Amino acid sequence: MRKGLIDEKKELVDYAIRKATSMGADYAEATFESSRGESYTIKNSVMSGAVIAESQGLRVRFLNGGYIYSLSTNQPDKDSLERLMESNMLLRGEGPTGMEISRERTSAEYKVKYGRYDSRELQNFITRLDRDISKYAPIKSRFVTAGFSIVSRYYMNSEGSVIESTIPYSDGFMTVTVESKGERRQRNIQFGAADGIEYFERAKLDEKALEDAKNMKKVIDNGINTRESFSNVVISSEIAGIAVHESVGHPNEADRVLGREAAQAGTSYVTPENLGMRIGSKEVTICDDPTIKNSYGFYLYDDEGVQARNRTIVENGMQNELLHNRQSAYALKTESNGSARSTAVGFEPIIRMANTYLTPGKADLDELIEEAKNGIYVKNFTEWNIDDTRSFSRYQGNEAYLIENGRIGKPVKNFVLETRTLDFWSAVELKSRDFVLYAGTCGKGEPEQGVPVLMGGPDVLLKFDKRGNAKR
Amino acid sequence: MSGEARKIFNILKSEVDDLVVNVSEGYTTFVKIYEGRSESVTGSRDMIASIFLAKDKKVMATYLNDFRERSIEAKAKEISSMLHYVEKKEDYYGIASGKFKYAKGRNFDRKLWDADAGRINDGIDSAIAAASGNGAAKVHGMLSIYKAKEEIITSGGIEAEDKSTAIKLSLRAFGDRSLTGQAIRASRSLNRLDFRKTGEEASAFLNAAREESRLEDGEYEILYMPLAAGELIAGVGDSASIGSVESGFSFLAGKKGKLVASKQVSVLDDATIEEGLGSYSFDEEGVPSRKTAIIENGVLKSYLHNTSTARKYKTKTTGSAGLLDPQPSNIVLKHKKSYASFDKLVASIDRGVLITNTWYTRFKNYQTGEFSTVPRDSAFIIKRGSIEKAIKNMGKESIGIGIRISDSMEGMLKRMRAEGGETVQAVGWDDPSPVFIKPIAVEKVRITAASW
Repeated sequence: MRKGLIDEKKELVDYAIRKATSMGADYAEATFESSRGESYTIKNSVMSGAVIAESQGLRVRFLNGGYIYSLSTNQPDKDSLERLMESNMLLRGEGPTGMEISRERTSAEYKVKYGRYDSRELQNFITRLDRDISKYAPIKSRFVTAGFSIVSRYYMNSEGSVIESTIPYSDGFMTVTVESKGERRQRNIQFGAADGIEYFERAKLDEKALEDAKNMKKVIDNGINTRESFSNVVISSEIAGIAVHESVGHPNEADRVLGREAAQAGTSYVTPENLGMRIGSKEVTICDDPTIKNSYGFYLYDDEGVQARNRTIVENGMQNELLHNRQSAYALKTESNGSARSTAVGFEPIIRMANTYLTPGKADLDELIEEAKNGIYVKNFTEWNIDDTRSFSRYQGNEAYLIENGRIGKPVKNFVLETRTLDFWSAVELKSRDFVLYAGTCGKGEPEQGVPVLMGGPDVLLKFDKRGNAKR
Repeated sequence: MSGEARKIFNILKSEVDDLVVNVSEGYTTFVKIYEGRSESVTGSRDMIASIFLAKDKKVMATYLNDFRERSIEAKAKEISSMLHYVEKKEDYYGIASGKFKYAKGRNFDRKLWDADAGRINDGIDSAIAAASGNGAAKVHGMLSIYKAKEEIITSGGIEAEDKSTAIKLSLRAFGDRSLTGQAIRASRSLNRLDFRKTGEEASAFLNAAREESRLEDGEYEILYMPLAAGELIAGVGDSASIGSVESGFSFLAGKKGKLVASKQVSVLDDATIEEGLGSYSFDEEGVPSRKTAIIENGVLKSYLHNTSTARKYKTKTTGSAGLLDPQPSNIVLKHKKSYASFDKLVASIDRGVLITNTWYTRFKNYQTGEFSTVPRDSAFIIKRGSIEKAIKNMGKESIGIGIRISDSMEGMLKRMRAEGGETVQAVGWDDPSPVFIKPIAVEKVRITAASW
């Protein structure tokens, strides 16, 4: 069905580019998108109702007189398109911006293969997951939502590139609340892949939720509160992942570096003047790779028709490469590295991460704990946040344990890692070979748009020096 | 629109017990402002049908944007086939029925609907000029315009239509002393959005203090400006939805009739406010908008309901229906201790911190309502009733402040001491529920500060 619909709209995509060019555009691109998604939610064994979202839309985006116009309609026909273009040519005089244009012409078609998609099976999956985790009595509240969607896009630009893609997504999240001795702790688990619903079984979500729930009960029952500061902190791949995303990935998005997100999702400690700065110890190499097969942040060509590749944002501790789209590449006189993404054609493509990670090391977790000798091990987190410049972050441990004489000891209830970004990454001493990526939805832009991403890395031993600010 | 809702309704009605078809035609325009100039336009023209249906307690929500008869018929077949296996929502109790009267034209402004490029550009230019004239070295932001027509038809006998307009201007001003300020003003009508005042407000705090100082960890009385307070109080509306309560995402669960705030504090959900960006004539099952007291004199009075959840809990709908779960509209917070002006409120604080904006509010636990949030733009030390020094824990060069607030929703509501100054419709750039609020003082708030 999708293929037929896209074939029907190819002429319209071509027309959109011709129309923009005839209006004087220096560069134009157009995308037709067709998507269908289905999701189910269950709250404490009560099904909430099925949601089926289906849409088609066309976006034409062009550089005209130093301004960028990104215009879309979900009524993809010539009449709507013309009215849309005529009514939105609002800006006067010569505009202040540009885009990297005259790239080589590209032609590509890719389709992510997946195993299964079956509505009944999807619904049965969440019912079963809810039932399985309900058997553990301390879980007092359960919320599970999961869905399958498939997005097809047909893209053309005035450079002559034509790209066709189809990507499936299986994703969702769940929240479990555990109560013991009158105290409640809550755990949110997000999951997602560019894959069929067989992914849900592979993700072993029931085991994960139950393990986390049992450990939360242990933290409540046996956990201590401490006011101690710790110089040696072992973080799991989950903490490494959120730190990579928030304190390295975001500040290396070139639009933030240039200030284009300053009134929305913020600025950056990286500036055009300090590119190449030291961000961490020599153990720190951080990449963003959209091309990981079946990953949640997967794509092979970005929303501006630029081929995706692995980007090494930080190499051996030094800032190495920003994430770029055509606009930031123009501003900083470089080439786009394929980082333009949009949630759907109704939004402008902006610079986004895909799958961002700290590269693994060669140790194992036991060696990290042993090397720490005395300190704290943070296994997962609940609340987190970071300031507008991405310099001062906080990760609230949900499950954390003392490290005593090189062994994991008592659980700790109230550990908060609150630290400066450069101190955090400078403290990286040793990394495990185990490596895990976690799903997330990254929000940015106005109107805010969320895109699927992965973030992760190995377990990491952080050794903070006296200036380090690893707070309780 | 020309009868699309009726067309869909007629094709689907024989398949189901309950049916709500809501068709909206919307136009949006976003003008991005970068370094004091308009830089790009993102625009859309969309028409979409949101459809809610139920049969034998099997509930579905779906969307459609292809209005050709063959597409609607294909959708009907798909629904019919899915109804065979979709599991029942055992606690579903139907939709609203009856004849209602709706307020007409409350959310619509012809001048905004017809606003031309000249008026929009002049407005942006005057806002930027006002910010620059007040000391801003750089100005970034976004002007957003929303226009929509909507029609609803339900199997409960409801047929209604509405038109709405909205405009929002968000500006962030950067001073030359690494202080920044953000102002976001919104309105339903063009003439009521004061472009110039928004620019002045964005730059108002750039020179509020001559000196800078570090802040130490500790407990302080915090004076939240409306943008910061709105970011936090929007969480009261979200938590009041019975959907959040049932999902385990509410600090208000199980507390009806109990004290959840200072006795001086009342919180309303009000979908009827003329200027409110969250206002509507009818909710998503066609029930007229209304006011609901969520918290009255500190006591939790009501959750937000649609017809089905109201029947389940033996109460009345609050006119808050979303497509599936109830949603907040505009949240209004009032404090009985109200100073006549912002300056008088500042003067009442002996040792405190002024927070102009905040972001990244994240919950440790939705049920306990424990959260932390990161102040952004400018923050100041208040000493003996005066704004004294700008807080700079991250060094003079950085625009970061370097402090973080940790609190809980209920604790914050109980420690609210007083309000003062102008009521503002606080809307964030990332569009949470609008909150109508004055600057508000909260006692004994924990702040952690970065050592730099």
